[in-house]
Amino acid sequence: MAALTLGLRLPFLYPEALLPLLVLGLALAGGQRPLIAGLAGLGAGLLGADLLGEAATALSLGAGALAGAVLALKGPPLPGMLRHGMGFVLPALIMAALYHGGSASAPALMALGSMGVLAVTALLIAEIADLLLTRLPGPIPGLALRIAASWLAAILILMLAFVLADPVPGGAGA
Amino acid sequence: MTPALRPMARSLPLALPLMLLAAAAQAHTGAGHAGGFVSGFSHPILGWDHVVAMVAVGLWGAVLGKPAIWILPVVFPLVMAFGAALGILGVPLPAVETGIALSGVVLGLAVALAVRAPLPIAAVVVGVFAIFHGHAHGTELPAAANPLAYGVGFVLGTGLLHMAGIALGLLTAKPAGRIVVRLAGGLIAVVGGAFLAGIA
Repeated sequence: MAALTLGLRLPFLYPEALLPLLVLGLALAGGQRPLIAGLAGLGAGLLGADLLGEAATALSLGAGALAGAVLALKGPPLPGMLRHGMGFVLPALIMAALYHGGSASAPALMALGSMGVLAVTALLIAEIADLLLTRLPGPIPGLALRIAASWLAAILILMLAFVLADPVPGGAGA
Repeated sequence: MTPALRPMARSLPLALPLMLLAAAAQAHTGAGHAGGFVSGFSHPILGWDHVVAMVAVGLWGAVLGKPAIWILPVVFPLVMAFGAALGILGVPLPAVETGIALSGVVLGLAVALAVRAPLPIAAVVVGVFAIFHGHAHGTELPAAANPLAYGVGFVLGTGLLHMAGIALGLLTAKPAGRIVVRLAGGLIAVVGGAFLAGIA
């Protein structure tokens, strides 16, 4: 049970997981949810975590920044292909960033907890964004979503720079 | 003293100790989450050369009208963060201080003269200057800053300055407001010129 609880908490403890997760939720707004791509991404991320190693942190931050920038510049809803692509890549890199160096030894319940909470959180953010986009009139909700994506991307760019400048444990990526 | 100022005068003795306490607290901007946030937040808003340029971007957006007024707050933080990343990574950029001072002059004049540049050109001009501003922030940041807290503070500080410029720019909806905005642009150009000439 402790493993499950830790798995549920893990994505909220690390900015390299939390920030791209917020971007993912916003990117899924306004269109069909790529559920299969997302689940495949979570599994692929767990399996490939050791392969990516420490690079997973920078990759997760970089992919989140790129996705945020694309959403900020294009605005919601994103085209289906792009949403499916992000729906696979972002969960995979977030999962890899959380479990690199220990995916083989992590308890199954812990990994399942993280996968579940990542999926639910992304869908919840997308639902809230959808609600704002459909219920509030005028261009303001769309603009607010784009500004939020832009600011998240800017924070992710800064964090990525910190990680690349100081990739040691205890630095920005720790 | 006017009647409107009397309540302010009465509350001044009460406010003074609080102001002194705030100054003492502000001195502790070291490591940790709070230090990172305060450092990131204060970087964009404590330098007049940065402040006037960022406010000018919002004002110019208002002069240009829709969609520029809304596109700028979306694009500017991204480009500025990219510039800051270059600074953090130690990528050299020539004439950063000159670029920053020049941004005040150019953007200030664009507002003062109500220059209605096409959106792509305006975006490139603003984007180039954003890289200079971001680079300066990136190279000046403290080594011990918490990255997440610093990033959040930095982006919030930048965004709020931008919003202030846009809010002021909304005055352009009225004829008298347009004069105020153009005067503000002129003032910004003068401040930028003072930095460019090295007298500020």
